Amino acid sequence: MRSLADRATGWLARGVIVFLYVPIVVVVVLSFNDSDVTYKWAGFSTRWYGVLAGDTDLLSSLRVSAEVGVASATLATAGGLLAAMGMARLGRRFRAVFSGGLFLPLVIPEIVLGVALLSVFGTLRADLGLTTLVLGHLVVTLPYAALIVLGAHGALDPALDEAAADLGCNAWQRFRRVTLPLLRQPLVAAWLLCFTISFGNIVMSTFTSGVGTTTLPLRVYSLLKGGLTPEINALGTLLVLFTFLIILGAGLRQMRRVLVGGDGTPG
Amino acid sequence: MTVSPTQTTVPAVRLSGVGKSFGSTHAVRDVTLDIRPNEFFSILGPSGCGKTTLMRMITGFEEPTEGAIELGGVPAGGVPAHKRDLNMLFQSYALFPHLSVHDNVAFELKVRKSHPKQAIAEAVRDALALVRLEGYGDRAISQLSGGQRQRVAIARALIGRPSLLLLDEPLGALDKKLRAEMQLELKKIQREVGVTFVTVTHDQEEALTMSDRIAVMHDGRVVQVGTPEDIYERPATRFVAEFIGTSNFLTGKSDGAVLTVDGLGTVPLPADAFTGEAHLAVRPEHVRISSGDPAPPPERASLPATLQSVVYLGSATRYHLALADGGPFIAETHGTGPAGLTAGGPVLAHWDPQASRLLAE
Ligand SMILES: Nc1ncnc2c1ncn2[C@@H]1O[C@H](COP(=O)(O)OP(=O)(O)O)[C@@H](O)[C@H]1O
Ligand SMILES: [Mg+2]
Repeated sequence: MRSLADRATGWLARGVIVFLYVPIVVVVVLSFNDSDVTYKWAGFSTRWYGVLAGDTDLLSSLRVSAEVGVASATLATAGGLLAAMGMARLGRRFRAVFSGGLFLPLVIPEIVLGVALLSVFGTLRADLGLTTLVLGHLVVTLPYAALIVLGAHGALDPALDEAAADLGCNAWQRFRRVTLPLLRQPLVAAWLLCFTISFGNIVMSTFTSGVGTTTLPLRVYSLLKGGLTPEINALGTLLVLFTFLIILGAGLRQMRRVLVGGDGTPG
Repeated sequence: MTVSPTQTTVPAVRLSGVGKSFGSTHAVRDVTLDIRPNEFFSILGPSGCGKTTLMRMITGFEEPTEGAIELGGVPAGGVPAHKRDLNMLFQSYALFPHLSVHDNVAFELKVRKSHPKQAIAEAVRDALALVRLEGYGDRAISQLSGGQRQRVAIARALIGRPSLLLLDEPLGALDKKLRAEMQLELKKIQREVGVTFVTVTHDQEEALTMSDRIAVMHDGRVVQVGTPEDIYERPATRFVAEFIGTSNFLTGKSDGAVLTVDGLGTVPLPADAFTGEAHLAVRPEHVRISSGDPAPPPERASLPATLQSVVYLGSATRYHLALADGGPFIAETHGTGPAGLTAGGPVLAHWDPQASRLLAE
């Protein structure tokens, strides 16, 4: 007999899962809503997908968000990797100072960072656009990438790098053949996290986007005033589908690794 | 294999006044020694005496702060690790977890691009056969036991036929039975491939079993270099006599013929003993005990003692004695010793003075 507490925990866990997935289900269902407003069901239709396909404003903001997301996630992940490798060479005290500096933006409210960055761009007379957007998102994402990559890099046995040198690798070959493959998973994780953070960002984007570089969240936010249509739900459904495909792809690879490379019995 | 010291071959490794400090820590001080081609050389010493640091300077992971290193007659100063013709067997094995056994072993040949593809496959097969792991090429590292991992590490280190293999505590992580097996196996592999092996160990039995020659380190210095027999039978210092095996010590003043020990009287010394303050080291296996009747032959050194306890060790019996000044003394005999001795009773400990050794420090 399972105790009452056990059963309560089980139901709680189920409740949490439902809570997490209810919005996703709602988005998908309402994207097929044949109504002009999101909150009233008026029968099944795919017409909002058609509207979405013709909405150049929304699609161009989707494109800006994707570009900024890819650029800032790539730069942040590369920066995190360089920071990790550089810090491995520093003395203990420098390392503490450096990592403190790296993680400080995490505890500063984003709105403060945004205002500060805007004054910096103003002083430099930089035009607000894709570049400033990417730089702004980099400030937000880099600490996360560094956090993930630094932890993973620190967990590597330093003897592996020495073994590679011992077996004839110069610095570049050690990086290519040993460090990079061993960090592949955390690097992918860092990239995906940074992309997601950038893709959903509103605060930093408000300060750093310019004319013609409105991101998707900014566009959706501005649509709120005119009233949302199920077109947003159609877009959301497509994004959910896209994310699931990525997770499925990564998940399958993960599963194969477990099946092939997992712990078998020696002998 | 013994190489006569007069032979003028180029040493595999030559250390001249090598020292290394980390800030105010002197890990290695003024080490000068030659390691000969094809010998099985051990660096032996207690934990923290600088063995690993010395080895890391030979591999090129650390630069000496004093002195110079030559590898095969060529100065090694400034040559990075990946350009040195030597390999290291890491204490943690440092196998690459993202590569299969085959790819781990093939690693050096692929990096150095010295072999065509077909030849690499053959070389890997030979290397795995050398360590008796035929057919393990497709395994993941995580599927191997500790002993198997070590064999893979050995195959990986030897596939490029380095002229020198450095092994850091190679048997430290194995259990006792596997360790004894690997001691013989390492020795066999070394003879088979004809590569100079330099191992680092704190296990004196391991060093005595495997090595052609041993360097004993203490506090960053090399205190004695010699064959296992030299080191065991003719220790250069009290530290060596204490660290390798067990020794009894008598401390007193030598006049060249006898040692006068406060509270115990005099004991005869081995031939050509020096004079002055000295320690006399006597191995327990050279000490016999008797009830004193009949008296031991007059040429033997003898001291009265009290028998404190008898420990039966199977192949030997150990007697713990207390000398007249209360100091401990140990005797060991093969099999069971003389009968009729009771704990607490008086006995006579006696030994051949030629089997004892007078040490200055
Ligand atoms: N990278 C280092 N930085 C500072 N001190 C070190 C370093 N490596 C070794 N030491 C010190 O040098 C001494 C010798 O260490 P080591 O060579 O590892 O000894 P062993 O291998 O004989 O146990 C120790 O006191 C150790 O703390
Ligand atoms: Mg060590």
